[in-house]
Amino acid sequence: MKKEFIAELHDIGKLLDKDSPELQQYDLTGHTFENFDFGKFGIEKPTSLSWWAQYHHTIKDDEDLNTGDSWKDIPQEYRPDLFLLILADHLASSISRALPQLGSAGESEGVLKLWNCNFYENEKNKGKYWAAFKSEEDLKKLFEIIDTITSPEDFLSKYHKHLILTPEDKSKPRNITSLYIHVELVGKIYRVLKKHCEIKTGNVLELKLNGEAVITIKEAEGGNRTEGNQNIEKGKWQARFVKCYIKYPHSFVRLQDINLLVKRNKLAEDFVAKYKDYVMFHTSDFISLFLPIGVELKEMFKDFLDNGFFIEYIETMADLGILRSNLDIKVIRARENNKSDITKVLNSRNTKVYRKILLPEMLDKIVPPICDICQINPGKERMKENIKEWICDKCYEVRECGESFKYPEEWQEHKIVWFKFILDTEKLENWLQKAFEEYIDSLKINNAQTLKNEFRSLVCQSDFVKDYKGMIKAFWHKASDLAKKPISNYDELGVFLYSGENVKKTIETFLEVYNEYFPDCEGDYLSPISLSLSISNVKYPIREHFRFFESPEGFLNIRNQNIFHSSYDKKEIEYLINNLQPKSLHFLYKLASIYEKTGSDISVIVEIMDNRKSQQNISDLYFKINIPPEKILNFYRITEVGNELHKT
Amino acid sequence: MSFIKLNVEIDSVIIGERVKGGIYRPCLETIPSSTIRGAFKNCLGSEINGVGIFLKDTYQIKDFVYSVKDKFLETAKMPFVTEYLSPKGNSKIKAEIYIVKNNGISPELFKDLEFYLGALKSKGFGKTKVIDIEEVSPCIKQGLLNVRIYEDECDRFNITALSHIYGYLFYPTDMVRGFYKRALFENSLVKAPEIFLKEETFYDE
Repeated sequence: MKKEFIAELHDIGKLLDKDSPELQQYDLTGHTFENFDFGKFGIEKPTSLSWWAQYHHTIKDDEDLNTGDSWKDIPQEYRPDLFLLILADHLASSISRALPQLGSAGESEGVLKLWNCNFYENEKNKGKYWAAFKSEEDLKKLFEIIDTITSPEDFLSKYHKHLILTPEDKSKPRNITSLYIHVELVGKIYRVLKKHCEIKTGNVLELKLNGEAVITIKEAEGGNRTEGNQNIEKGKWQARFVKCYIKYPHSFVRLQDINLLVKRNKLAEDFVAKYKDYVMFHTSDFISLFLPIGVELKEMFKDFLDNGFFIEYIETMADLGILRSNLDIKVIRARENNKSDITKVLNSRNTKVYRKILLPEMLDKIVPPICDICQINPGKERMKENIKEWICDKCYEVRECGESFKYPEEWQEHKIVWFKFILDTEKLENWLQKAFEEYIDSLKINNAQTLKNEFRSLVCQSDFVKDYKGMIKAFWHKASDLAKKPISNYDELGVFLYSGENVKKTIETFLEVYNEYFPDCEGDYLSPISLSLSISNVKYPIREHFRFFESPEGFLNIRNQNIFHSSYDKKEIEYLINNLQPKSLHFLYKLASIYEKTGSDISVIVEIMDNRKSQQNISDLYFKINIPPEKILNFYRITEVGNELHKT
Repeated sequence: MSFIKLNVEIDSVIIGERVKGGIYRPCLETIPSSTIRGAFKNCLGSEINGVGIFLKDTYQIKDFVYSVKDKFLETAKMPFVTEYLSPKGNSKIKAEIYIVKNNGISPELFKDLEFYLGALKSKGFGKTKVIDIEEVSPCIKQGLLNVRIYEDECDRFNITALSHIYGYLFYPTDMVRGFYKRALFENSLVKAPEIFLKEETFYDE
């Protein structure tokens, strides 16, 4: 039986430890085995289709796949797969392959996560190691695997623990992405291209995408640069990166209405299952897609639209040579800043960035009543608990579907805290770019600016999102006794009975898991991850908690209904948690009152200086973290054990 | 295209979204064309097309508990909570209202005008005073919309939608009746006079 071409296996050689003493006799170089002398070592050469992926670095971009020298060893029937694999490999690399060599920045053994620089060292200390193949036996096994692995999933799951520790490329600064994500994305992109590509066999082999026939890689991709004079020629093949934000106009009137989030999760799961190769990565409200030209988004998102969701998307269409997940930012910035050297090249290559919205069908006018929840459909009168409501059939169906969450009886008449973790994908792109630039600067290498300009964040984003999901799972592992999940399979949302102790524990647990997964991602207003807590009476409208969650201002956002809302950096919280003492409460009130009346830092400083001996603790706090006394007081009040808020 | 720009000051105001579940009324942070239309019809008796924007940092959102009395039955209905915009600090809420300039409307009409905007006027909300009047001729730019406006009024304001976010605004046809009319909401991608934009954008069209 002819097996499928498993693109994920193309970099299996990167899991081999060539420097292992047992393997020295083989004189191995590079990470592919196209030149390996199987006869000399008495090892059986793989015969499956996937074997030909080993030639992905030998093919010259400008050579005709029919007549080119670099293609001559590849049987004609396998050339299209290798051709598409090379395109996919280029698209899924973290830095353009077209860049010049990078001098002597050196190599790293394990992957370097920009947000967790010691990740590999820590894993190594636990006894883990990047290489899956270290011995002679392992080498034979590696070749067997190329023939015996049955599916991409089979390979990814069997070698997961090694793939996540191994960098896509060991040379710095390319060592920032894991081999796992790289091969996963290469596999997906390869299959999307394969599905939409027309292969013309016969005397002359030709590959067509959207009617454009090509015979060389270069012809398909075009140049790899977006500025300058070299390597900027137009490619024949274009594709799209689409960032889709799943939004809803609904207001949650009753607690059961959050079933809409269950619905969204279910639709997202179905979407990812149906279009799994198109989906580069996703969260509960964001899907990143790689699509050929012509694939209709409206059709893909039909189920979301039918259920009243909006899809807001940013679509970047470009030659394969320059297409990357953050190209939209580059294009928009170039236009905004009138950078004609860049826009000229982009325009000549027909690069487009669109911002569009997919909406459900909406009537021109609605005769009252209108649905209280979605506000886009005519409402029907319903009575519940002596209150009239006007709700459309779709929203009512969502309200009634599945198990609805109810507050425990003992929470009635008390204060509760809703909380939500948020991953801002726009902030993530900006943060990754900044972190990458800092990394480049730390290496002190040539071509620094070129490298910064050519950074492709897709693989890092995907890696980051995986860690984010891991962090939230770890949070619930530690906090399952503390809080409840209103939606069982939705980890970003939680609620608990208010007490100062519970708030403190929740924040501490968040910091603990955050520091474990993202120790090098500073928790400030630029942080892609944030946590928002909304404190209110149990009867307070659920809608308002969600409205607060919609626009997090900082790393930790706290809102106490009708009392205050404040945002804190990670440093501030850690300092406050470790240093606030109950005896300082009255003095804090006094400072807050002075600040409220005068709005002046100087008045506060004078008061602190006057009392610095008796209030050493507050004096240190204020000068160390320099935040308004009101914020210190608010934090103290909501985390104080047995505090007055709970009593009211 | 020219607009009459009214710089106004407001004590506190409720521009409510529709009642949610009968007990809670969230407040909008923009002044839709429906509200402007209603306010001027009430005050000047004429149809005036305009939209408005509250100036950031001049207001904060607070809650107001209100118990409605059924005058016929002489009984109190269940109280509801409504959000309202309250001035930040000791000043007043500041807003800008833009009215399409045409032959029938003179800027003089609005000089020192006092009128009521939004809901619960009987409780003192919505008292608005025109402080200053200007005529502006803004450039047309691409960007994200910062106002809510009936879809069929977009032409009058020189707004061309490139990518719509639709919602509905109430359109009264007489004192007690009306219907919900489709409207363009905030964050729609448009080409419009820059005064109506939250931010300029540079997307392909």
